This record gives sequence, C-alpha cells and structure tokens, in this order.
Amino acid sequence: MSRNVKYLLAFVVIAIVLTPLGLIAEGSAWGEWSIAEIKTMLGFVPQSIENAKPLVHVLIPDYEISGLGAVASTWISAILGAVLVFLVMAGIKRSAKRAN
Amino acid sequence: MHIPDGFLSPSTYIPASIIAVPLLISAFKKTKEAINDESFAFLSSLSAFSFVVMMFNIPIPGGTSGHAIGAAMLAILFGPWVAAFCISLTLFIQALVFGDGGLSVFAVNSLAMGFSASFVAFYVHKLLHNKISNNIVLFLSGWSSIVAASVVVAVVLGIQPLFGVDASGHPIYFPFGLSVTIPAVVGSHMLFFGVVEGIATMLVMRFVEKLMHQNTNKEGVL
Repeated sequence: MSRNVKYLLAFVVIAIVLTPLGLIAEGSAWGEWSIAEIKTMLGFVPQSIENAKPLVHVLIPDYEISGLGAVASTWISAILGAVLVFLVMAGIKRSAKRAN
Repeated sequence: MHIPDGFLSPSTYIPASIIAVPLLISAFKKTKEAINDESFAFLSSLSAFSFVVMMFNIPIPGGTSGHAIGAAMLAILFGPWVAAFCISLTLFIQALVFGDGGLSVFAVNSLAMGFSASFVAFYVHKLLHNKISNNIVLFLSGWSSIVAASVVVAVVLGIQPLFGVDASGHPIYFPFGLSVTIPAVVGSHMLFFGVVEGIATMLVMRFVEKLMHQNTNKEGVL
C-alpha cells in the first residue's frame, strides 16, 4: 500500500470515528423538519408534505438503526456510506480501464 | 440543505430533473476520464469524506443545525464536473439508503450541493489563485461554494408558496416564502456553515497538497 493511500485511509477513518460528534446538534437543519415539527410550528402540515411517500424503502432512515444506540448507528452508517462510495468509485475505475 | 420528499411541487422537481440528467451524464463521463490508479485514492477518499462530513451536524444559535459539503476540495483538484459527480453520488447514497434528502427531489439537491457548489468553488479558486494568499483563496472557495448551494436551496424552497394552496388556504408545498428562506438558509451559511466549509477546505487541501508533493514530486500526479 502506498504512503498516500495509507494517509488518505487514515484521514477517512478519523473522520468516521468523529461522526458521533454530529449528534450534539439537537435541532434539525432549517427546512428539513419532520412532519411533527412542522405541525408544532404552523399548526398544520402542508398537504404534499403530509402525503409524501419515499419512492423506495429506505434501509437506515435518518442514520438510526433500530435497536442500536445513536453512536453505534452513526458509526455503522458512516462506514456503510464510505464503503458504498468506495465501491461505486472502484466500479467506475474498472469500467474506465476496460474501455481503454 | 437536503430537501426532503413532498417539500417541492412537481413543477419544480420535474424541470430540475430534466436539467440535471444530461449534466449528470456529462459529469459521469468526465469522472470516468479522470479516474485512474493514482487519482482513485484521492477521488474516493474525498468523496467518502464528503459523505461523512455531511453527517457532522453543527448546532447554531436559533435551534437549528447544518453541515459542510466538501465540494470545493474536489472541484479545485479535479475540476467542477468531477466534483459535481462525486457530491451527487454521495447525495444519491444518502437519499437511497438513509432517507436524507428525498429521492424525488434528488435532482434539486444535486444541482444545489453538487453542481452549484462545485462550479462556484472552481471559478472562485481559478479567479483568485496566485493573486492572494493560498489559504485565503482556499477558504473563500469553500465559503462561496456552500453559500452558492444555499442560495439555490433558499430560492427553490422560497418559491414553493407560489405553487398553490389547498381549500383552507394553507400552502400545499413548502410553506415559507423567499423573505423567510433567504435570511434563514443563506444567512446561516454565510455566517456559520460557510466558515466551517472554508476552514475544512483549507485544512484538507493543505493535507492533500502535502501528500502530492511527497509523491515523488512529479507534476501530473492526478
């Protein structure tokens, strides 16, 4: 493994290890409220927001795995996300090589 | 800034999808050209970093929170198209696997955080590079990239009240107009998250530049 790869991997791993710090923020991002939050804010929920259904079944909604603590959920989500990014990129690299 | 399903009218996300699809195809092709054994480690690590950094919610006064994007570093290193593809890939995984940002409005999120942020970062960097201190250029590229994304999100959200009300007079889609969304979304990104993005861009770029210099000092590392 080249030095660069080692350092870059360490960089990503450190970022993943630190993700639970993001749990300190309790408020939602502005404009990303849940239906319950909108209801408290406005007294009603806009039709389209109330009826919104996700197009696909989401595996880990809100980075929370049921039965697991917040920190563990966050770590697993971050690892899964990073691994998926690496896999897609590796797939693109392979198809680029084949094209040449 | 990840807009959820149901917040936007179809008359917003359908045209956005029509614009985004050809852009994403071009961005994918450019990424395929740019990816090789040497660039792969940088491209995939910085894309993974972008995924992770968006989970890093930072609380700000007023009870809300937000996060950096990580588009600027990719745009400076690999150009705006490749950066836009990498960020869009991250956003797609977030929507598909974690329900963060709606899949139906993915095009809007991709145009805001992917394309707008990457292109603004790239051109700000190009314009200021070698004119002022490198750290300041990196900071400004990061800051302006996320502020640009926030402008797109604020405008898209803020025009939703124009797309209809129900029988009782309540808005059907996102309920707040531009006079609320611009200060809330753009203001918070100028004051807080832009600063975080700027500092992150500066630090990560210093680290990446160091790695590249160690790497046998050859020019075309990427």
